[in-house]
Amino acid sequence: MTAARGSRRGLLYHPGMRWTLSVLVFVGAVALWHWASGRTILGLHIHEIILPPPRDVAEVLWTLVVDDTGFLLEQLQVTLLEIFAGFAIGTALGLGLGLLLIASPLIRKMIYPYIVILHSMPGVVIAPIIIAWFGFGIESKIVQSTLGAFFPVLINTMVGLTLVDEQGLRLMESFTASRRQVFLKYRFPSALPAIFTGIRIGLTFAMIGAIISEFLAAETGLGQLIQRYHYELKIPEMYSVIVIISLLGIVLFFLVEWLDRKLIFWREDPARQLWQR
Amino acid sequence: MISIRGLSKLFPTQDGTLVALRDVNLDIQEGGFLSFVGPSGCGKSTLLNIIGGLLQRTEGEVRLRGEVQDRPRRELGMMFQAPVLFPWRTIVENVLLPVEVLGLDRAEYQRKAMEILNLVGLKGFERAYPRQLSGGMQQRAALSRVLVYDPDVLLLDEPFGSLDEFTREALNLELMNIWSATRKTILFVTHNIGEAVFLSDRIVVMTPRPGRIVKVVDVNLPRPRTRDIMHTPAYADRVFEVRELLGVAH
Amino acid sequence: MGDFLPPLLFLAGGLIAWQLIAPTGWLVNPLLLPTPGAIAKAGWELLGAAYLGENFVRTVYVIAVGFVIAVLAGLVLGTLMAVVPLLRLVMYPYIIAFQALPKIVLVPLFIVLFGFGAAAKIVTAAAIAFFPVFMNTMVGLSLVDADQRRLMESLTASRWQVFTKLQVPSALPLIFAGVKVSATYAMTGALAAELIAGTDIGLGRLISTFSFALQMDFVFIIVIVIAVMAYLLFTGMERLGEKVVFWGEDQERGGL
Repeated sequence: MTAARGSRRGLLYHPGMRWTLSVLVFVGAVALWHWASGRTILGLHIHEIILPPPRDVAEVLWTLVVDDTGFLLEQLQVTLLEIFAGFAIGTALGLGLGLLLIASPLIRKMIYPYIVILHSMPGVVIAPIIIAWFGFGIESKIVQSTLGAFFPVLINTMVGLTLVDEQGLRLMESFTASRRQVFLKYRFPSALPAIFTGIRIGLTFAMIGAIISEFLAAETGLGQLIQRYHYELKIPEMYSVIVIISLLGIVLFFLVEWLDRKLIFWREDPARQLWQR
Repeated sequence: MISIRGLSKLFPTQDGTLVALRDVNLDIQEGGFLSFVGPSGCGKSTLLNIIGGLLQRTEGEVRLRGEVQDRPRRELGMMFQAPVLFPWRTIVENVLLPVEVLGLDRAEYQRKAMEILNLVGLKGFERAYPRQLSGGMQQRAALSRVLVYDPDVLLLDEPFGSLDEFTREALNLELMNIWSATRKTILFVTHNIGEAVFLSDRIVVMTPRPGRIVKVVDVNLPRPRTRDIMHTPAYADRVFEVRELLGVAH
Repeated sequence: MGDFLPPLLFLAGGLIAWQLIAPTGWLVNPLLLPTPGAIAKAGWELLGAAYLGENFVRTVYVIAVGFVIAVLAGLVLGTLMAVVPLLRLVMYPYIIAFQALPKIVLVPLFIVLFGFGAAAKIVTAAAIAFFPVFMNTMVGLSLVDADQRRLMESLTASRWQVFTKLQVPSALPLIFAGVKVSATYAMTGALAAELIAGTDIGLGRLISTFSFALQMDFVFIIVIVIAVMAYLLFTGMERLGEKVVFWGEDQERGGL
């Protein structure tokens, strides 16, 4: 009986079977999209303008990527610059302020309550202020994505440096380590997983900051392109750019995920085993 | 009561197969106190888990009162090295967990749970949460949990292994009292030779790579036993015999 | 009291400096950075305005409905993925892709699909808030302590008993951590969608209208209102979390 159950499970859980089913889900979703476009479902008419058939979107996407490569790259470059510049500045500031606040209890006492309040606030709502201050150009996008990256890095740096195992500290003291040595050899390294988690969230938020700022007011960039196509009712074009930004987001996500595994190789993430069999 | 024939257990690992148990044969009488002793990796815990029906055997068979035993049963109560109390339940709620799972009458067993908690010295802690208790008290609660539904056999997997020497000794004495009063069949896994000799009727001595039984030693010390028995030559002889079997230099 | 003094002094000093520097135009154009006095005045004016209430109520409504949908969908789908491992494995690429996707790019799509009314904003809030609850439900229900599972098995517990008596309670801290993040995300989603749509009503809409008119004092006061809302929501969820997960486990474990 045990053997029979084992083999049935074995077949279903075979990696080939698993990926075949995954591909079938994708095919099914596209087929559903194709079927739904221009059809009336449960009395609700889904107009082709609102939901163009997948083939139209694929054609436009193809044109955009193959024929207008130069144009697309130009937009992509701007958006990437905004994301990475903001991400780099925000990470540096977050890390720097986090270290300062840990080093100086007085400054921490003064401003920590405001950090908590600002951190819990949705940063997107100040995008119009930032645009008013820094203009429609790339600067306001960089500031917005800086703000996005800043808070997660700051908070995680502080939490990571605060929640350090006491026994390790006592061990370092027993070696008569100086404060500097304790920090460099124990406290900072043991905070690294938390800090890098902050950096990962920071990249996502930097991306969101850049995109929302482009949505609201911009001259170039992929987000601006989506808005422009939206206003011009070029819906298949809009869908295509959304696909491109989504892919960009996924690529960036896996980039930091990969970096995390390389740099914080000792990190234990029990959730990873959920995807294995 | 329990008979084990030609039992083997293999675990697949990255570098091949690990033979956790090879050709184990053993007969266990009803009402006895039997210990399994050996160094880590000798398969004593694996054997206990197979008897308890929590692990599947690779070869051979285990029978309980003549019936094939390959699944958890109400008659077999298990206790692990960790107390495994649920942090969201109070102590008495933890003790009543088996009662709920087995669908027994809660009101009736509530009284019994209180009595047992009183017996193991946890009076006054019934409504406490596990994290408010020390390690020894948590194990007492775990012991109450296995006693409350009155299983015929207790399978104890190094139940006091993580406790300090004093607490461990106190709990061993309590376990012996409970056994004397109830005459349940107890299978007790430990790596502590002295503890095994003190508690048991018989000791199954096991060695690793591959895990197998070297010998079953009859303890033959008089009962009832007290701490004083540890100073007798007979006790020392048994400890020495088991040590020799395990090849422990001293 | 000693703990309150430094931040209050900092705030007072900052406000006074701001009030003195802003009108000089030394750092920023006074048109763009209103003084605290001007902001307070705008706040007073706004309190008297009839439209504040309706915009506020709409935004709260969008956040609440989006949040409830996200939590329900996250709980149901997360449980499904935890209970049916095959489904989880098959959906793996899409779950990860959805996690990686900056959901904000979907706002124009939602506006096209659901119009400029409340629906598109609710969908945005729900789409952004869905993932933390979903992921933490799935992880919490799946990664149960091996010893606790063994104990339940040894007691001959049924699958249903293992689920209700072990998996659900032991997942609660993680699920609630997800719910907490979701509440904040729902707020971000609702306000972002209102800002981007730039029509209809809602606090986000008010911000875009006032900022296009360069009435920065009004923009600031609405941002302050939102900050207070966010802070109350955040601390309220913390309090609630302490009640739900009364046995005081670390809620931050693996939080997303």
